[in-house]
Amino acid sequence: MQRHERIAIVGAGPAGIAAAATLAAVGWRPTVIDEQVAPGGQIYKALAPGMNRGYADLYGPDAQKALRAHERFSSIRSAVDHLPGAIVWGREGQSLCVARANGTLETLAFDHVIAATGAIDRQIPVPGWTTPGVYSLGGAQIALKHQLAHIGRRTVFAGTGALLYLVAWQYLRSGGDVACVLDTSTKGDKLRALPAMFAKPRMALRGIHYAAMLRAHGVPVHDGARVRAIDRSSHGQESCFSVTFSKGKNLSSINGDAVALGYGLKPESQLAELFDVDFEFDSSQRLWLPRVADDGSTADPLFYMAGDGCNVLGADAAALMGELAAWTLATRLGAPAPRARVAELERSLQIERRFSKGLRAAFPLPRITQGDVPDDTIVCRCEVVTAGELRAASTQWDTTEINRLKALTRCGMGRCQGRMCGSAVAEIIAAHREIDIAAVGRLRAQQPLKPIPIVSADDCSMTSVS
Amino acid sequence: MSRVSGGAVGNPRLNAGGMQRLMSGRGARIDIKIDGELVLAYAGETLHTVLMVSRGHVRHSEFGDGPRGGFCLMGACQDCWVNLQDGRRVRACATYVAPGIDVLLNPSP
Repeated sequence: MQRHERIAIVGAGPAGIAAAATLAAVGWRPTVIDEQVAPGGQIYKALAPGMNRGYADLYGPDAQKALRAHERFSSIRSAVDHLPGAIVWGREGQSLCVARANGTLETLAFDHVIAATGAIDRQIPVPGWTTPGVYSLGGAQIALKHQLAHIGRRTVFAGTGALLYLVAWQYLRSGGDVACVLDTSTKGDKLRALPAMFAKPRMALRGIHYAAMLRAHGVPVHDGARVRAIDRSSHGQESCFSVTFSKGKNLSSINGDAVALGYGLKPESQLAELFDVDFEFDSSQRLWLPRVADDGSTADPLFYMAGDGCNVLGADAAALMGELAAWTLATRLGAPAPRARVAELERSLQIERRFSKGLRAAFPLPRITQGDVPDDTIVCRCEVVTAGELRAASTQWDTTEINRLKALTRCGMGRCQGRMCGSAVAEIIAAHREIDIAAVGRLRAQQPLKPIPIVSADDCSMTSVS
Repeated sequence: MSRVSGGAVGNPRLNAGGMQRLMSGRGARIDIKIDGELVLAYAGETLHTVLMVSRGHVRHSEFGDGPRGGFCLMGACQDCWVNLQDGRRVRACATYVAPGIDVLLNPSP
């Protein structure tokens, strides 16, 4: 049965693929809008077109999952409208504003939207983090699996999270030199979190395995260590970084020619702000998250969310959430409810949530206290606003509200709209003014959600895609 | 896996640090230009990869705080916008090499 409602799915990672496949199977023809040129999201990001390398090399133990995700999308390609390389940058009533890969701007009419927009690395600004050669941890992994490249010959991995060990191990395995791994979480954090992480025993063991393999290959792995400064120095012809880190009360340094930074992931939930979705402060993640029911619905009947883009639970959970959100929408639109399947998805998600809670306990977000981000550190990469300028503006204008500080300092007003610095700005202000971080408020996103190509006035008249 | 450091076709940089190509699995040679100078590149490479391998940065900050490279490589940070000779402005991490591309690195202020 062909169903007529126009459903737009934003993102073609695990959640978007699952949602699209579910809806296509019961008669809808969803439109899948994806920023990537090929489906898979960031986790199963495909190798760049024109390069050739086997799945086992690219995705390691996730090779089968990556292959299944890509094949699942291939199997429904003729049953969906796929807009690759396209950015959803705004909304006008019941249309999404889309910048297509060829640079044209179009509107896409929808009856419902499922946002499966994924997550990015969470960052804590550190002196030197804007220097070329310093990347996000996710970026370091994308260099490898999408570009067959390493960000450096000898890379320092710093931050916290399971990804830290995975990417360091992938670099080592593919011929790179890992200078060291600096993890802010302690041995005690990881030990205490083990029981919860054994909700998924294979995943827990995998993490332990990576750390053990790195150590076995002579890579220094420091627990409870935090990067404090990244200084550029030159050793003859080679450009090189000296990375200073603290461990307890001691300061040490290590050399490398690239640095990968990341403190866990945070959702790319900006699209939700264009809909009637509530946000609430999650005190364990210290983030504002869109309020999404377990079934993927939000307060806005037009808008559903799934995957890391609403709550970071990982790729396996994202696929479950994508399918669940699709069933919720399909059922509301009159499709028969597959009760047994929905119950199964909910049960599996319970396990994912337990595991994820364990992961967050194992790799807790380090707190930013008064002394942690020195005044001369660039916080906002886009507009080059320092921590000192933020603190001074907060004191001078006696304000702690993040959107007001954005207006005063331009912090978070640049091209990335605070994606990189927003969570750290809130921490810096909360510590500086000694207030609860929730009181700093939420950095609001606005259209265009991402920079769009500059087009001449003639080209500006939008065309509709059917 | 063997690695080579890239550079201008006629003038390879010696043993430079930073972004490294893994040679196994690369596509066909598709050389592009940076500021009019021919530079070694392979099919599937983004402008970001080519710029970082051959120049060590992708642009200069408009605020005078020095050169920048890419950062997130997934279209979020917006730190790798570059100008092309044909007038386009593109994100270097999301734009693949193609015959005829000439990237303009803005001059150091």
